[in-house]
Parts: sequence; C-alpha cells; structure tokens
Amino acid sequence: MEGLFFNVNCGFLEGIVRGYKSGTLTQAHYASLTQCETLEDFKTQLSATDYGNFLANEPSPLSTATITDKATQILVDQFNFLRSNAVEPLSKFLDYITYAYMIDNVVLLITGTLHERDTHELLERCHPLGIFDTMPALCVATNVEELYQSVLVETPLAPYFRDCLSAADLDDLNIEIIRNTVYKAYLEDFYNYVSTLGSPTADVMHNILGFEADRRTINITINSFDTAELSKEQRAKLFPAIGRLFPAGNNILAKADDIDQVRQVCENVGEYRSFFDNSASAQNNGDLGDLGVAAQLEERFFRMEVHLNKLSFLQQFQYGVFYSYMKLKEQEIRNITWIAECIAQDARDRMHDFIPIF
Amino acid sequence: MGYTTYASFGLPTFLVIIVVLYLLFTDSGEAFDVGRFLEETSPFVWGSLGIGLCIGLSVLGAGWGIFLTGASILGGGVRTPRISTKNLISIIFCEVVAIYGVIMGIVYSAKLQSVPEAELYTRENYFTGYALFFGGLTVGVCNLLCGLCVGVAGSTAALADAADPTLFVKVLVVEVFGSVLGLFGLIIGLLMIGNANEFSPGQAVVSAIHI
Repeated sequence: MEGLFFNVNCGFLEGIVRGYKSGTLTQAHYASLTQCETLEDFKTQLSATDYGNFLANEPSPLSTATITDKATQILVDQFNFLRSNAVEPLSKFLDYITYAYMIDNVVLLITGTLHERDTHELLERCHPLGIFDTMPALCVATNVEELYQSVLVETPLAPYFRDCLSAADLDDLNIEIIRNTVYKAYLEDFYNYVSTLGSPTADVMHNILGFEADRRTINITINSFDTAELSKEQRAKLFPAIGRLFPAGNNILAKADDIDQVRQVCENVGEYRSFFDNSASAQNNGDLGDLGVAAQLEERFFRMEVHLNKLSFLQQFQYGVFYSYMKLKEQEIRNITWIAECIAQDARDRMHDFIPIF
Repeated sequence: MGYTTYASFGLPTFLVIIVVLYLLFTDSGEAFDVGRFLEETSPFVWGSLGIGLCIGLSVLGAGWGIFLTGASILGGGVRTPRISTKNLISIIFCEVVAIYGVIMGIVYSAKLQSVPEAELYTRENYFTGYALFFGGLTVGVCNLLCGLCVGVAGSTAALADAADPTLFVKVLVVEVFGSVLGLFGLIIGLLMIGNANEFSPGQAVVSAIHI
C-alpha cells in the first residue's frame, strides 16, 4: 500500500536520488583511476564521470585535500537540493541524517577549543551538512552544563545531551564518552522515528541502523580493552539498545576482556560470523596480531555497510534510498581520496585496498 | 484506541444503534423495510448512480495511475532524459482506462429515456436500473484497480529504464498484463446490460406510493 501514496510527495525526489546513484563510480571507473600516474591524470579521468569539471578552477599542483573537499561539496549540494525540495515526513528524515554530522561538528569544536586551536580554523573544518546557527558559540564553553544551557538547548541535539550533563570536566576521555553517549541516543531516536514511518522504510532502515549500532558496540569494546579508566559499567552504558547484539550480545561484550570473547559473541549472529574469520589469511601471513585483526575488522565492517546500503536500492517507495545514497557516496569519496593519496605518495602496491561499491 | 478509531468505527455504530432503538421503542420498527425501499426507489436513481460510478471511478483510477507514473518519469528524467519519451507509453496505458469508462458511460446513458412517473415502475425498468447500477460499479472498480496497477508498474518501469535500458521492454510486459484488467471490466460491463432494454413506459397504473 505504500506504493499508492508515496509518489505524491516523494516520487520526484526518489527519481532524482536514483539518478544520482546511477552516477556512482563503477569497477571500470576505478580500474582507469588506479592506472593514473599523476593527479592531473586523475582529474582528467574524473571529469569523464558524473563528477565533471569540479576541479576545473583549482590551481595546479592539486592536493588530495582539495579533491576531497570538492567532492564532498558536490555531495552537500546534492543533499541540499533534496532537502529543500522535501516535505514532511521526508524532510524530517533528511534532518535526522544531518544530526550525525552535527554531533561530529560539536565534538570537533569542543575538542579543538580544549586544545586551544583557532576558532576560525575549527569552523572551517566542520562538515557543511552539520552546521547550525549557534555553532561558533560552542568555542567559549568550559563545561557541558554551560554548553547545554547556552547553545545546545535550541538545537535538535538537545535531547541527546541530557544524559551526559553530569560529566564533570571536559578532557579527552570524557569527550569520547560524550560523543558515544550522544551518538547512542541519536541512533536509538532515529530507530524509533523510522519505526513510526511504517513498512518498507522501517524494514530497510532497521537493518542498516542495527548494523551501525552493532559496529559501534564492537568497536567500543575492542578499543576499551587496554583503557583502565573506562570501567565496564561505563562501557556498557555506551552500547545502543538496538541491533542484533542487543540485549544478549551487549551484556557479554560489556564484560569481555579479550578479543576471543568478542569473536564468540559474533559467531552467535549469523551475519557477523565472517567478521573474525581469518583462517585463510592467517596461514598466508602468519599471525596477524591484535592490530591486524582490528584493521581487517574495520574493512569488513565497511564492506558489510556497503552491502546493506546497496540492498536498500532494491526496494521502491521508501526513504532508505536517501540515507543509503549518502553513505555510499561518502564511501566513494573515501575511495577516491585513498587512490589519490596512493598516487601522490607513490604507494601503488596498496592502491587496491579501497572498498568497491558497484 | 485512537481518535480515528472512535470516529470511524465508534460513532457510526453508536448512531445506528440509537436510530434502531428509537424505531423499536416508538413502535415504528416496521418503518425499516428493505423491500419497500427497493420498490419505491426510482430506477432512474440506480441508473444514474451506476453511470456516475462508472466514469467517476474510472477517472480516479486513471488519474491515480498517471500521477504515480508521471512523478517517477520526471524524477528519473532529470539525469536520464532519454526515458521520458519511451515511458509515455505507461501514461497511455493509464489513460486508456479512463477511455473505457467514457465508452461505458456513453453506452449506458443511451438507456436513459424520459418516462412519466405513473408508467415508470415496470419489471423491465427495474431490471434496467439495477443492471446499470451494478454494471457501472463493476466497470468503475475494475478500471480503478487497473489504473493503480499500471501506475505502480509504470513507476517502477521508469526507474528501471533509467538505470538500465534493456529492462524497459521486460517491465512493459508486466504493464500490458495489468492493463488487460480494464478490458475485462469493459467486457463484463457490456454483457451485464446486454439484456436490459432502455427505460420505456408501461401501462399507466396508480402506484402504491400515491396512496
């Protein structure tokens, strides 16, 4: 029944987003990009794709940071077009996508202020999709309470910050705890909102957001193994209450002490069983060690994320395509940045370590 | 229990119960008489309602299908302008549904002739009235659902064509099967009034309602 009324407000925008998605780089494009010798070649190859002449006005020599910034700007322009043409409830859905960037910007500003960086420089490094009006005022904050009362209470992030108002000082560890607490509240709120949108959107987004929650849970667990200051109770409070690992897996991970316990938890969930499967490569390279396992895990998380986002395009008449397009385009920008860096630093042996999308 | 549940189920049920109990307790329970209702309602009512439903529901289905398909063609045509010409065929399939409704409306309205009240209530006229009503309802609902079907399939066809041109003909086959549903409605609608004569005056009688 979703097909009967979806096109009234969102049919045009869905067509637009699917058009954007058909312009993402394919394996053929990546093959020609990896054969470039210089960044000028790279720029020429990209001008034949949907990116067009986005680097036309840049003075040579090109830097990879410029390429990334310009590519991100294309994505921001596309998102702003979609957002300005959207009505409720799609406009609220797109707003939820921007809250993730807002959280990153807020944490960036607080951290930068603590380390006494220049305000303007920090504001320039913020992600354009997460900008809100009162952002510069964040740079004068000294503790979370003041931050909340003066700036955050009028932003859409206000309900997420309520749980961490008790954090006493702002130091590096506390900032990470604040970031994860706020992001947990955001994920759960997004999940609940998506449930109110009904069938195909809810199904698609539940899968994607559930995986995001599980990924964060596993990452927090692994990163907290060697940190003595993060107690297990504190760690457990950072796990989102959604996803396949909730509640049993979360409970075990909260008490875990080494990576084998994490592996055991993942074996219980069918889709995650392959994350820790390194038998073939371990035989080739010798024992990977903890760092190697973490790096491989990160890559497998990215692959799973790309896979889930690609699946959402198989359903029509739902909002998941907008979210998935943003994530896939970001992954593509990361890929282009990686290839450009490998060209610039002449490290061609690792050039194929990006995650292919289509 | 939300407000919409109360409004859509609770209030009408309540009103019906009030009316029924009122009739019951004021000894006018026999005022509720289905047979008398059917006998006294003019066949013109049934005929005209049938024609109205026929064209109204057909146009609703066609319009619904056209906006479903049109929004997707416009969206997909921004990046892939080549789809806009080929996918007009989906719009044509939806439009055809409205044409079926118009044809049936014209065929049915040929049965409506002016007849004086006293000579109206003959068996043949009753039959024509009911045939027009249910024939019109059949054609209308068939065309409504056909329009919806072709609309959703056409929307998907447009987006699939934008992604990969070889898919268009394959999805078009699905649409063709969908558009045949409207044709079925047309055929059955014609059969239903096959034996119905147009409204014609019978013998002048003093009908029961004038007493």
